[in-house]
Amino acid sequence: MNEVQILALIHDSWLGEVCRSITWLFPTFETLHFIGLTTLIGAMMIVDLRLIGMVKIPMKSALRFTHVAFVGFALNVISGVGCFASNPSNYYHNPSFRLKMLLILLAGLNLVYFEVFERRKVLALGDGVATGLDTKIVAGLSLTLWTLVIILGRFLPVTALGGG
Amino acid sequence: MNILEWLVTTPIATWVTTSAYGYYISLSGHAIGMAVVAGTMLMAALRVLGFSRHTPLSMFDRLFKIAWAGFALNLITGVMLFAANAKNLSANLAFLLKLGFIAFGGLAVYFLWRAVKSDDKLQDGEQSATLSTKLLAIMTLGCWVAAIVAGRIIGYTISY
Repeated sequence: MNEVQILALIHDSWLGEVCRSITWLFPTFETLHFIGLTTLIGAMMIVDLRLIGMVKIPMKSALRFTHVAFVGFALNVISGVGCFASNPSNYYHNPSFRLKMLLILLAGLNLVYFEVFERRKVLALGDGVATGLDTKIVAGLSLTLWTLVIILGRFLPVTALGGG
Repeated sequence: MNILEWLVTTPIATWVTTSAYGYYISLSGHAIGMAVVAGTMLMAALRVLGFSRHTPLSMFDRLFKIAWAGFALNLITGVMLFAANAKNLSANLAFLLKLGFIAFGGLAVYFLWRAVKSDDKLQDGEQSATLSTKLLAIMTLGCWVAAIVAGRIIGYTISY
């Protein structure tokens, strides 16, 4: 199956049809997307700022907020799929959308790196002990990537096929 | 010419309306500020409602300062976005409601934190907040989510 066929399949899927025919569904998915991103950013602020050292609380408490971030992220995957299905071709061929997906992937890889190489290490640190440079870089990268994702989301209409 | 008509003629409004990216740069800044402010408000409400009970409330000292910076960013980008379409926005119900929810959201978190600060048992995480404090947390959550929703509805109901 080539990409045109896959996009057509998604477009003609039940979800795609429903999102196009019920006019308030797409705006609802978009709104949920904003709520999800707000949750994600709010939670990652706590996690990443703790890892950087700007917020002083026990590491274990800070890391609990990764679960909240995940809920925000999950909400955005669901709402994002809904938006995508309504007009797959438009998003697929949009450079901002592609870059946005790439950065989300990078943020995910950054998270995997954290889980594998950093989590145990930072939890073993005593209270008030500074985190290493590598930890700070992972945290800074996380906040930077998610901020860029927000910006790219806002630029989707700018780079969509045929203009905004 | 009234003030709304004048606003549209200012250099900053002109930049937002006529430059290729002015509007989208302003919108991006506004989205970032929103995530920082409302995100912090949501986390504060969640903490009071009992999530991660042992997290010291003192972490919000710094987080609220960062939220204020986000608010400043949104005030600036908000004025820019408003100036570019002042007449239509001032008559847009979703926009007016959004400002209302932000005002109430600010009041809600103010009273919430006043209640939180005076509640010794809440500080050390050993006990949960009183019902009235939890209600304030829910109201804070509600106001800021409503502000986000209203903001989205502006996009669907505004003319340019």
